[in-house]
Amino acid sequence: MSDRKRYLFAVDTGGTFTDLAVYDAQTGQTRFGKTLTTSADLVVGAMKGLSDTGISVAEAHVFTHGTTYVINSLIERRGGHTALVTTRGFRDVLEIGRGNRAEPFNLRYRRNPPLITRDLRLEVTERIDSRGGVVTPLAEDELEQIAARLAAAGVQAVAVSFINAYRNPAHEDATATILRKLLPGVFVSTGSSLTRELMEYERTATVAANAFVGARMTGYIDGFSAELDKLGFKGNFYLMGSNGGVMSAPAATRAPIALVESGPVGGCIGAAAYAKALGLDRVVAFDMGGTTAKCALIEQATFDVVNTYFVNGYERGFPVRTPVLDIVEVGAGGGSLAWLDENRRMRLGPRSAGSEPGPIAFGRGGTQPTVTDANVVLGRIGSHSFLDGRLPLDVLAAAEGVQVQLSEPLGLHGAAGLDRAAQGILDLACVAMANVIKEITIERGRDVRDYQLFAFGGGGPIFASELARSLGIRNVVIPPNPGAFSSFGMLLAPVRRDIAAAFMSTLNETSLANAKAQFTQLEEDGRATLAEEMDLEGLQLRREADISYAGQSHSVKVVFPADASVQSVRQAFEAAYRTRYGHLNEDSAINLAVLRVVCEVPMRGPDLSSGAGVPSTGAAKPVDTRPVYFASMRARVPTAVYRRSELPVGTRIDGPAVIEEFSSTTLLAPGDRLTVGDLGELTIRCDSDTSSASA
Amino acid sequence: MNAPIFADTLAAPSGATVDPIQLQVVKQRIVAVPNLIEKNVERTAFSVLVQEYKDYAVGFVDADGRLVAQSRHSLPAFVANSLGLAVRAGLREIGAAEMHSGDVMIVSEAAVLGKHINDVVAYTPVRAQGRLLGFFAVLVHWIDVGGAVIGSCFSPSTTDVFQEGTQFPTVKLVSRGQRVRDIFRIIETNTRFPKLLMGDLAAQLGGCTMGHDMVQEIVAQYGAETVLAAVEEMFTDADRAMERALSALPAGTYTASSFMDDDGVRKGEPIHIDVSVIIGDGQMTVDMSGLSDQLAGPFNAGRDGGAVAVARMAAKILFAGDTPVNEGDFMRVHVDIPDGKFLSARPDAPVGGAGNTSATVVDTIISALAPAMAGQVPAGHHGIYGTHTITGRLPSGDRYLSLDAMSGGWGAFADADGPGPYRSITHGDVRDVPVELQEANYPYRIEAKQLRADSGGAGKFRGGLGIEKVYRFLQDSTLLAKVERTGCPPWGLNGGMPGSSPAGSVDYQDGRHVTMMKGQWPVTAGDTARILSGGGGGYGNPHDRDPASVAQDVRHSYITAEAAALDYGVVIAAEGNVDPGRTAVLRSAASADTGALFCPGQDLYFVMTRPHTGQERSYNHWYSATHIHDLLAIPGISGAQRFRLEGAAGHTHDGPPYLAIYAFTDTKLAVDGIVARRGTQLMPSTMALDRSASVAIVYSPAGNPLQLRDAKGGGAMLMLGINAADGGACLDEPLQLRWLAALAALPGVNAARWYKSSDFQTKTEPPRYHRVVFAHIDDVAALRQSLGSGELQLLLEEVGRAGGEAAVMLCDALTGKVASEGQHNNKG
Repeated sequence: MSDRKRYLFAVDTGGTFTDLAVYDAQTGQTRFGKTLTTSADLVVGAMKGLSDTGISVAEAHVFTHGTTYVINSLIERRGGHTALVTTRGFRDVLEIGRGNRAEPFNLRYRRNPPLITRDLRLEVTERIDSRGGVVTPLAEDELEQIAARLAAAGVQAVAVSFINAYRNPAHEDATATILRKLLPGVFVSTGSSLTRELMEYERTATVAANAFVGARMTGYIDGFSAELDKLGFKGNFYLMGSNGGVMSAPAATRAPIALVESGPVGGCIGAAAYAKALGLDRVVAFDMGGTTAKCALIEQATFDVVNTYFVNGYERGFPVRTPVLDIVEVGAGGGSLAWLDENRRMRLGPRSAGSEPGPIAFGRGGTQPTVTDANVVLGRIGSHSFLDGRLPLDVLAAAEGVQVQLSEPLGLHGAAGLDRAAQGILDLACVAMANVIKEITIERGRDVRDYQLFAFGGGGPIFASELARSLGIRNVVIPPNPGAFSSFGMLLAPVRRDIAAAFMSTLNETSLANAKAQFTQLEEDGRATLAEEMDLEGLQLRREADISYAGQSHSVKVVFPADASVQSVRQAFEAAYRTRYGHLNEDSAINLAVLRVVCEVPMRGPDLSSGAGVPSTGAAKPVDTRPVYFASMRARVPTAVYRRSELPVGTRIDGPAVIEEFSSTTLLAPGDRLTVGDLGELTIRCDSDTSSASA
Repeated sequence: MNAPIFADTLAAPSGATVDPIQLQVVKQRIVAVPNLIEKNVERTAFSVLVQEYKDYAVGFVDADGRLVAQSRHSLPAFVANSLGLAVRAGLREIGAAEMHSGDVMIVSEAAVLGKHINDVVAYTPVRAQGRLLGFFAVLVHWIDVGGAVIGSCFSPSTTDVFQEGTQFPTVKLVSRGQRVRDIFRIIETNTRFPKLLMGDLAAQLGGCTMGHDMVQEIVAQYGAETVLAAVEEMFTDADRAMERALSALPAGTYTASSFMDDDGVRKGEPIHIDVSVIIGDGQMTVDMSGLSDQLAGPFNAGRDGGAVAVARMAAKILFAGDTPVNEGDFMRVHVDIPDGKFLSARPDAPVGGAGNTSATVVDTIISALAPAMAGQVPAGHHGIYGTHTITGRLPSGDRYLSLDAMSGGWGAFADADGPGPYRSITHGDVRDVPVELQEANYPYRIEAKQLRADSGGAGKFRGGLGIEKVYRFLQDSTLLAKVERTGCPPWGLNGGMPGSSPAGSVDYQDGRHVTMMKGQWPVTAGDTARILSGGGGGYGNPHDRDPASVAQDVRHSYITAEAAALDYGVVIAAEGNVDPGRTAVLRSAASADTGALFCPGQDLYFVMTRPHTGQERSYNHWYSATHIHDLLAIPGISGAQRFRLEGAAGHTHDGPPYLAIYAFTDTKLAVDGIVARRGTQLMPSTMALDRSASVAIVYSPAGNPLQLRDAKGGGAMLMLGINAADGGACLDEPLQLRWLAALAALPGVNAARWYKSSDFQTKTEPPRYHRVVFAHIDDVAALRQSLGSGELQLLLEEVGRAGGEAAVMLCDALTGKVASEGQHNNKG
């Protein structure tokens, strides 16, 4: 690479904002930008953000793009005209789903309709059995009639999904080959090319979604590349995958479903990098934005990748089987609305004021109190410090909203009542978020008190201290630039590909030998596919297996070393199983359900020490003092306000205190002790003994 | 910032009342606990029943056994009272003082829970500062507890509970943290699947312990007083919401009836479900004294697990479906049922299929309230579990039990088609077992799992569709099924039609075809079984459905073109679009003036036909959507209409049941055209038509018609066919002078006219009737009432005395008047 290529770009196109991070390999510094997302054409906003940075992408060697394009296309149902070809007798797999009613007492419960209507779900004669044997050969002649019908219907994409194709994809592959030939220009995708795991509905839903998005994704990626070409970009263009790694444009074009959670993963990658650099074994990554909060567990600097994601949620949406960073969302964000129900009990959410009309304090038409309004009323967010004062906040309007709509009707009078009600909004947000974090830890057999809270996003740092207290967590870490952390994390993402196959065999010496042979094959496949797209320098391969007790359908993921023995695999399984489920079933056989190879090629991204900022001498001085309400004091107390950019490494501050920066505010409760670390991170030691007084 | 606000906040909050916001926080935390434990139970359990079928419940009940919070995704059937019943039994039998921290009690006996004895509740007391705060409880369906069949509860023919396995009265399974080994050994000895059951039991016990700890953590943080205050407030809030909902309904007694086929033992004897729901004073009482008595077969349930549970489920679904459940939901819900009904059965009654009636009973209670809750109650849903099991031994010699239930169609709403296919209303968040998982584990292949076209009840809004599932067996196995609701299909509402009933059959390799109801069928490799679930009922008159929606349903094959025509009155043209002209002909049938066809001076062609048995719909589709229009294209034919005939006023009609009448402008031309075109591309016939039965006669107008008034409606006419020895001439005078007037005097008749058989006939045999007399009806209800009055009888006797022989038929219009294509201009 020539010297001219000194930059690494990351552009994260979110729902409201497009965030940019540019790493300069020469100076070691990272610069950030923010621009409004242009929902009509996401590329426009991204290019606008690029030109705002003043840095030429011609000098970039890597450009990574995280995008909500895939998930938005699915949720808003803006995809291509798509058909499905299935095994005879199974055209309704998508519509029947699993037959469950996720809201059992809701008489009007109705799942969202399938992406592909019944008239475009066609059947072909073929059958594979559960061991992969051919029961009925593929009737290739039928495919000509099918192709003719699809051509007449003007479809742009075809999903192919056959029963038991996870064991033997030959019929799906042959069908795809024939349809591609007969239907030039039509996007054809097979279920087994996306996931080799059993369960026909989940696999069919995955390929349906992939095809639905695929027809238009090609245009999106080509459009984006073309814009970059115009700007003289000659480096590698990557897209941010849901699995925490980036993928090449051709790979993303074939499997756009792998980008379904492209947006939120950046923050987790960043959190894992900090956890590694700081030596933090167990971290809860906590990202709070305007409408939702997201949490993920990071252990030994790695996050878990799971294989199922529900588009539009479990209750009404549909599953896709694709490696997705294990993130759990809760509908509590800065814009969540507080209200009184028919029994005059205070409730929070699930409706959100979003960015339009936004909180009352924004003065843009919002009339219902939100979490942000509560923060403003209580002095936690300064009225002139939001976005460096670019958006002045109307404290009195927010206070009036809380008073008229909440505190007075609840019989909480006067200024104390106002504060109690405002704090109540925060308490409800806090308990909702704490419940989610408990859910993900309990579900995995973990104790949340063994973790540190790594908080980012626009709203994470202001909640971190009290959330940590309510969970019994003692340490909070806040990275530099928490509001732009997601795009920063993308700069650190490796190239990653997960290649898996169903194995479905009881563990014994014979199956172990077969498994090893299968692993070798998977590794070769991985190497071959990646080699088509990039330089494999630094390629790392990791073998994993999803293992369960025989007869049990839930499995745990176990690392599977090359020299694994029956004994060592069983031990590794039992250790993981015990951690997760608290007990073993010693005399039960174990089943190797899925074998997986994770291929990673690291990227030379920024050094985290670049976040330390400009070192200054002397003690940090507050820029202001203002009264801030703290639940633990049940009162407002005079609180020092600091600019984060003016805090040198090593600074120590005792709470109460407010640390302000462009896109976020960090709050120290009385008793909290803050240290500015070597990487510019803020570490807050919370005294959890005062927790019972909060809420 | 304003100084006064700051100054005031230093005052301590009033300590007298509990902080309302803190109570909200505590409530949220309590409600969250069972949902957290639920995830853990589901993941740690061994059997598919727990993992996939969600046949469990997790909850916290207070010291009196009142439900405080229950897991969100477990079976609705348990929501009503299972956990509380178990705890209250323990409090009676062991006493609170003897339930120590670290104890886990279990109970499954039918006398307590009133459900099948696979359902076992385990619970542990939660104490703080020596005070009993409540119990954390986990119910799990144990996969097998002995008894006559694998899985214990699936037999359709047990006659007492003792044939269904081992019951546990309240016993301690864990005492102060120590396992009571003897009880574990008894459990292990009495099951066919010790490994699976012990794995599930470990998950169940783990759930109790973990839930206990999480509740205690909340108590430690907020104090017992606050937690108890929060619990009280949860009850109050739920009760107030229920009061608001019930007070909004008009007071009154609302009734509904349905039935199930039989109890598996007394085959063919229906199980009656007559319910009354009494609303008033903010209370709801479900009177189930109209249920059948205790059944001989295994579909009974005890009072609490049966009658009380279904009433509570119905109330929760109708009035509080969107809030987490607690005892406060049910304080205003009462049940009135004497002992000894099938949902208040005695303790020794067979209860293996205790839940099998619940979906139908709950749906019946809900439908009773349809008049009180305009537009909010949907038509009936498929209403059964559709459980079927396949058992046998794997090549390894191990026993296996494959269990699945069926999803089916749900009823349509006043403003939306019925959803689905989903599990029954008492199943909830239970998932179908994936085909690939079934095939990977069991020795059979599934050849189809697909929607059943036309199974959703027709209506302005269509019912949801049922499913067809086809198994092909690969080795000797036993198939056990419980097909139900074949006699009482899912009902329609407000004029909507019922959905299709569930069904099942086995096709043996030797060619035998067996229809399944309830029972066990041994099968061998190569045999196949089809299991069909029902469709939901329709809502509103199908003729009011938007024709574009009907066309779309045909395009999606949710309905056939035949159903579109016959049920919805919509004719779909070859290219899939609505044919507006032919659609108008079908949809106007009910209101068509039957006199409009008859023009002065024109001959009539009178064709009576019959379909082959079992092909009536195919025949009618051909006739109404195609054939009648083909004839209208023949020169010389100006109009036509179809009717269905039934005998009236005590007379039977034994001729062909369908009548088409064609108006001829030129008889010769028309008849020549018919002969020339018959069976050609211009006028294709159908195999569904029984040609041997056809009758075709040409009539000519006679006398003067009587016109009383312009038709105010229509859709039917009365027809007298008269024969006499002389060919009818002797009757013409009284016919014209007296009988026509007598007919016209009948209520609902707006005009009357008569015809003579023509000299010109297409067949050589004499015409069936020498004279035909028509009374056009514009008020069918009034006419039908008068048919029994005797007036018509007097007239017919007079005809007899005059030497005639008369038959009387009511002719219901199947189409409006069809005019030849040139006369309406609204085609394509």
